[in-house]
Amino acid sequence: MRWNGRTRCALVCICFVLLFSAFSFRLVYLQLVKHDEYAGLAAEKHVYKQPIYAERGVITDANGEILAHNIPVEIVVADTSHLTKEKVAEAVALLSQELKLDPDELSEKLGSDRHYIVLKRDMPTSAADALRTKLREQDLHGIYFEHDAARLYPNGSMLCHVIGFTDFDHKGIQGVEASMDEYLRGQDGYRYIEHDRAGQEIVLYRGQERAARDGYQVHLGIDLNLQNIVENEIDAAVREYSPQKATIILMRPQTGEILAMANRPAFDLNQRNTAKPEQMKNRAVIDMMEPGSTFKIVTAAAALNEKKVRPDTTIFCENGVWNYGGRTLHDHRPYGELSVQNILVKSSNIGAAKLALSLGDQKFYEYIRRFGFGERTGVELPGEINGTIRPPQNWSKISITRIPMGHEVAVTPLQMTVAMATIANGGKLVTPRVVKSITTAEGKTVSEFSPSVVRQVILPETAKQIGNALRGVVSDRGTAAAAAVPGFVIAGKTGTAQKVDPHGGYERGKYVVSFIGFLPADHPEFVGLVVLDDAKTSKPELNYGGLVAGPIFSRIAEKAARYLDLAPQPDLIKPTAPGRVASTGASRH
Amino acid sequence: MAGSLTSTAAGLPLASPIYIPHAGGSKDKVTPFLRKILGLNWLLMAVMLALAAFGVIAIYSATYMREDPLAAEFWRKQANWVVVGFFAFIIVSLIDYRWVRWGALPMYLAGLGFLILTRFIGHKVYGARSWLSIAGVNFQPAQLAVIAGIMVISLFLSQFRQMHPMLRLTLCGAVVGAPCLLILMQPDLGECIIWGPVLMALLFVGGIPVRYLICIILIVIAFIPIAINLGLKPYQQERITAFINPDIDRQGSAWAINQSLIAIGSGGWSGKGFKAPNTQIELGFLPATAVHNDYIFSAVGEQWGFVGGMFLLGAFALLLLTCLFVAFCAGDQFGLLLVVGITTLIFTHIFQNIGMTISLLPITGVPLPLISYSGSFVLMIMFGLGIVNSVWVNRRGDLR
Repeated sequence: MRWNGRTRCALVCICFVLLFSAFSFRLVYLQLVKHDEYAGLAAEKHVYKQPIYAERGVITDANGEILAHNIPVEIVVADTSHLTKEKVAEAVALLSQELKLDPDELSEKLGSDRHYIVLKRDMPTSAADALRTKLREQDLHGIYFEHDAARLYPNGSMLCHVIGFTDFDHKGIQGVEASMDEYLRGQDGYRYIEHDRAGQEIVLYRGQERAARDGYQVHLGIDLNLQNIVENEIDAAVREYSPQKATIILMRPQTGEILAMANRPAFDLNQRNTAKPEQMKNRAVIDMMEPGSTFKIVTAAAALNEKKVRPDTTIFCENGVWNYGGRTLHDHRPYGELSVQNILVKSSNIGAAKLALSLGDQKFYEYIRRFGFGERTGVELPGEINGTIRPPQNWSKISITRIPMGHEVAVTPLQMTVAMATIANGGKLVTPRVVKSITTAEGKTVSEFSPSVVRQVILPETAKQIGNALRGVVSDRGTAAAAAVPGFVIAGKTGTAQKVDPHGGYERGKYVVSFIGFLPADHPEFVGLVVLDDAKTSKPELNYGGLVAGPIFSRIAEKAARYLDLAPQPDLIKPTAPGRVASTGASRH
Repeated sequence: MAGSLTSTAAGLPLASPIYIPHAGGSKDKVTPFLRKILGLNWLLMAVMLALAAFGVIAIYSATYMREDPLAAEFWRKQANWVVVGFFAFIIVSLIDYRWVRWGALPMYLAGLGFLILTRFIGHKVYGARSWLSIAGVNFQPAQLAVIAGIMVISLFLSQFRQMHPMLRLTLCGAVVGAPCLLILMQPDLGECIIWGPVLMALLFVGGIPVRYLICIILIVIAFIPIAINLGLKPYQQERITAFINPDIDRQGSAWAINQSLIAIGSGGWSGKGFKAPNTQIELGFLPATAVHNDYIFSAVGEQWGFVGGMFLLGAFALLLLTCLFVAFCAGDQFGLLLVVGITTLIFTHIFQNIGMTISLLPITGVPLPLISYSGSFVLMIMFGLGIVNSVWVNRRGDLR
């Protein structure tokens, strides 16, 4: 028995040894074979790269008024691996109430197995603090707060198309926010931080860190005071004429700075989520229109610059009806002999067509292109289009008579403004600019945009001749007497184009009316464009550029001149302020 | 009794792992008491003390970062238990184990009584009503009962060798069954499972024919699937699922075992170092309620790596082999069975605990002997080792 007992004892011993060997093998496997894998898991568990967000740059106007800035908010995120299963229901109850989220959706999110779920963005800091306290009280882990900034636009809808906005990721997707995104964005930094089981940061073990570089400030050339004048007038125009769309641009011809730019319909930048696509378009650069008679300045300038005619050369205007190429061209009123000047003043279609004919297709086309039509102006606004200028080989027989009066071409309002600015600027085409300079947050200049002259389109004297002719437009004998501003000589041109039907042809009874002018005529301070698409006037015959757009220009120009402190010429101040000529039914030529 | 004492003292150990000095060969100059002290199994004591001391260090390393003042005291409390346990060890070592035959039954009955008492006035720890507090001392009656059970079975098997094996089996089953049922009702499956290997080892060494044992093993194996499906509580089933497939619910039931594997696995060859920053333990990824007791091996594996783990396993192996050597040298069948029972008890705890942390076995909350923080358990183990030592001191000289 004793022998038996000892033998069995030895067997037990062998058994122990074998089982211990199993442990050894297991430890070899875990700690030596699989070490790297587990070490990786251990590191991944608690080290993570936390971004340090750069603050997006501020956008200001020319005077440093803030157009877009940031307020601190917090993002609520969840890491479900830190949230114990039993607490999910409790967390859902609290969060759905605090964050005003759908409980079902929330419980699905929290029930998943993900480390980073964004629950809510743009939560005000005070609300986040309150929620943080409640989470601590209920001992809920796995809900974290990340600092973030919400973009705020103090002026609401004012200048909305130019400023643009950002998406939730702080990427600019419209306007200057988009075009200047790389400057505004800054550079995010990061730090490696470690979390313990409860998700608390272990400050002691803070690892490598790179500070963030805040975004640069973008200063626009736009003057908020001028913008305000324009916005008020465009609102008044919308109230009065309820056009389908409207655009007003003010630009300094010598430098290309855009001083004001407004479009309707518009939207509130702070409620961009509710804006309709129609409201978000910056029509000044992405809408094509047939310019109509304003385009005659290009025709006349080309003919004068090529010395085909002189300003006082007279051209027979066929008494209002001219058959050319099998089609009849009409003037809105019969004219006989008109000087080149008067073709502009009276806005004779036949006269303009004959001027273009004197140039020939190719030369005329070159001038159109030299004025910048058919290509982007290069303004710092996204989505700008080229417009459509067909080359002569694609012209029909009568194109040479239609293009001079601004038909069969499609241009953007900004291109038209730039063309007029070229005339105001002695024939030099300057790239339009909305951005004046870029500085660091501390005010150090990063880059400054000086005026960039693209080319000398026409000779300075040609520009002067056109300028002189355009003064006549804004006079009792011209088409835009209502555009006059007391105390100033104004050069300008009206345009009334039948609206192009997107399905081909023209829409009957619908017009795009415009006025484009500059002031003062001999040393222009600004060029202004007013375009109203499908304005509703009391009588259809009142729907002319000179009658609708002209007075709007006049009011804007008067206020702008006062704001810019331009000295009026006393002999030009009329006793009566320009009223709403369109409604009084005065001269419509 | 006295006769046997002197005869033990007369024969010097021929196969003793340690040479025991015997005062220049003159037996009469040495008092029996001093002789006993000098005759202690020093290797056993040294290994035991080394393990206990390492346990205190390990607990410190697993809890030093806690802000909770209670947790910060764990290692000091463990040290106190070690001191108390050591006194128990010395005292029990010096008492002839044969006295145990008088103490076994009362101790067993007391154990049962405490277990019944626990059902009513015990306090719950991690869902099991398994702790009893008497006179300010917390202890688990299950641990007392298991040692007492070993004593009773050893006594029984050594006394009734001529009884029919079937009858012996039945009676042993009854002795084990009563406390096992009470422990199961707590419920503490882990402590209950301990009884299985212990009983099997005792029956095996106690001379029950192997065919009976094989039958029992087969029956138990046959019952395992039924027990798992019908007898286990959902959380216990989850643990088994988590053991079989740890990837199923990493954030839930498999959280602890995955964290344990990550801790041990990331320790690598030499470990991250004592009190190294950024360990899984320090960052609190292991369950805070268990890292200093049931998951202490994860802490050891992470901080001391493969080398540390092997040293710990080696020390345990040395302890167990020393114990089994003592069993080999035991003076009688009773001593042999006592030592085998206690050794198996310690081994089973080690096996279950470490097996759990390295995912060789499902999770069962049993402490790691001498290392884990679990209060009275250190005392119990040292008490058991004291009995082993007593068997050594009172061994018979001739081994043949």
